[in-house]
Amino acid sequence: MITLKDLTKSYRSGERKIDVLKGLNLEIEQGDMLAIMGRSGSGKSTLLNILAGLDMADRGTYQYKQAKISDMNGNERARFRKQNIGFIIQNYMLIDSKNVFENIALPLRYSKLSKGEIIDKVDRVLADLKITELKQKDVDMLSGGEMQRVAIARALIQDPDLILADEPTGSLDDQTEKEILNIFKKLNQQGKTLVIVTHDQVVADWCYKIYYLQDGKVALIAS
Amino acid sequence: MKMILREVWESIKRRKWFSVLIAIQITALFFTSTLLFLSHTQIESKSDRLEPLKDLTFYQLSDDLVPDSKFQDFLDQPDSLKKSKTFYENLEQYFGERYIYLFNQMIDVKIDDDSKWNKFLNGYEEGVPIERLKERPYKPLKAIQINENGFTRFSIPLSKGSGFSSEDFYYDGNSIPVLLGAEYEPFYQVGDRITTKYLRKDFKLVVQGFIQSDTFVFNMNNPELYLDRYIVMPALQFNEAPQDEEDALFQKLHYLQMINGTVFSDEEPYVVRRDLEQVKTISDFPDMQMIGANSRSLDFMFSAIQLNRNLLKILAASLFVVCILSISILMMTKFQDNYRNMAIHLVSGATLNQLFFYFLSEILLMVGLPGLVVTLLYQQIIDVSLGMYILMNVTIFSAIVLISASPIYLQFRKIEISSLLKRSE
Ligand SMILES: Nc1ncnc2c1ncn2[C@@H]1O[C@H](COP(=O)(O)OP(=O)(O)O)[C@@H](O)[C@H]1O
Ligand SMILES: [Mg+2]
Repeated sequence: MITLKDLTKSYRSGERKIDVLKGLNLEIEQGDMLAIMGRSGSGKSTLLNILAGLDMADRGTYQYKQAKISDMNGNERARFRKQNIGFIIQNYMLIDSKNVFENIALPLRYSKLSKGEIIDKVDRVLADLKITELKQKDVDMLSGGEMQRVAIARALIQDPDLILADEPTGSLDDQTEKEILNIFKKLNQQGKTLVIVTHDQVVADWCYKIYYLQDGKVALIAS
Repeated sequence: MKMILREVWESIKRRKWFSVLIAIQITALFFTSTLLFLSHTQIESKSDRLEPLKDLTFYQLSDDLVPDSKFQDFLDQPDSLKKSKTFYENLEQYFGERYIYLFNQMIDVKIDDDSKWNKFLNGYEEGVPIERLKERPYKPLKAIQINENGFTRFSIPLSKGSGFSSEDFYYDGNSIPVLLGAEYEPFYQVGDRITTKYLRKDFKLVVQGFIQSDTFVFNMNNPELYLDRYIVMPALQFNEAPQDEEDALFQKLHYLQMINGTVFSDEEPYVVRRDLEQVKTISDFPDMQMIGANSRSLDFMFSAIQLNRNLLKILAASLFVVCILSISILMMTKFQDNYRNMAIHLVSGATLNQLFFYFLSEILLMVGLPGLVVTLLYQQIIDVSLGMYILMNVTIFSAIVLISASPIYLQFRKIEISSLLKRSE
């Protein structure tokens, strides 16, 4: 489903140039659920951003099904994100001036949908994640676990094939972490492909494959 | 569209008071520019003609013959005509074009009873009962007398006929050439003769021309004296000695009036005062004083407006700069504050262009709404030169939006999604 070939990416911060990815190769199959581990600053978020079509590699190719994402311009990548990617950002970020409903509906606002369709879709995702009672709540009233569920709901609202999660359980207690992981498992069973960046061995162990990102490349360390 | 409004509204709410402050600034800016616009359109067309006079100070001359007894005593002096005439001639000579005589002394005219004349009657507009004004065969009509300096310096524009020449200011013993206000046009032709009594003496007037409508002049008593319903006469000089007692009295009264004119000058007040003292001495006419230097009407007419206009201009310019600065600062602050929210929008499928558009829309709204309100109010209340006014406001609007949006535009040009996401972590 996804082929990353020879990706390189470096950032410039002032005079310094940081090489983050140095010829990274990775294959992801449909229905896979994989973990990416690595030390802080090793480039995990960078890799995820490239997979999401948010960032561009300097060199190398990114093939998603038939589409060559690495050749796309900004608008094409925005459309690609909208149609295919559910992204759960690090620290489950929500917009605090919007309530739960509006946070989840946000991706739909960038697609031409009627009000009724939007409500239907949000209701369905809320029900799937068993958080219907949160619908009209303000986000600053939510617990960490609830926030993460809302963030997941937003990632799922467009029914994407690929779900990317950047440290999704970073600051959750064990119980909530388990619940979130169960949600991921269920999504995977429904046929979604998941890529989860994590520090946490417990989380990684829920996945079928574990990659380790080091020195700008990934290596499969368990499967 | 709904999406944009929603985002803009949320963004405004996030910094409510700052936004309110900016809206007030913008309103104040549009308000000041409206005042400027008004003072410009209202005055400019009129004041071009009076431009040369507007920077001058004016000094009203006034004889000292105030109690009636003193006045009568003066008239009874055998040389009083000679004195006042000499005084007048010396005023003309010493002050030259600085001396302007412009006086509204009604003139009695033999006209029929038709109500079409009502508006020309002296006192009609002030509410004097019409029967009183019409009780005699000679009816009092509004008139002004103006000397040659006054005529040239006010440069009264004509729609028909010809203005006064130098000779017209000397009585030829036959007729007096006059110019009629615009509203007389339907009733008289150039060349028509009018039978009158001026200061109780019989005169024939000859219509020599018509004055353009909405022309105004001013003197001590009238900051804006519109001439549309006036008969404009030259302030006559009489070379011939009076024929009898009655004629002598007429000339005395006439000259005593003509010395109560106005000096327009840009010199120091003491210079004008000194010149007047000199004229008084050589004419042997001590009973004259200068009153109302820096007269109210000039202040009212020009100085005040001019001063206020400059203030308004400074105010408008500073508001303009302040508005642009505050909007730019607000937007840049919001840009820094909102990495997190922008990141969420981006992963939800937004493009950087769309995000920039939210900022732009917020600026458009913040400037456009007060602008629209002020414009609508203007249309409701004032409605003068609406097209030009709208054009001006659109220009101000565009300038503010373009300038204050450019820093944030440059930010968006520079930033990459990845660094935005990085900063939001
Ligand atoms: N937009 C950026 N500009 C400059 N440096 C960046 C940017 N994004 C990431 N980096 C740097 O690249 C390296 C990898 O970052 P990241 O992918 O966030 O690592 P991880 O998620 O594994 O902690 C870090 O050294 C980070 O400072
Ligand atoms: Mg990271």
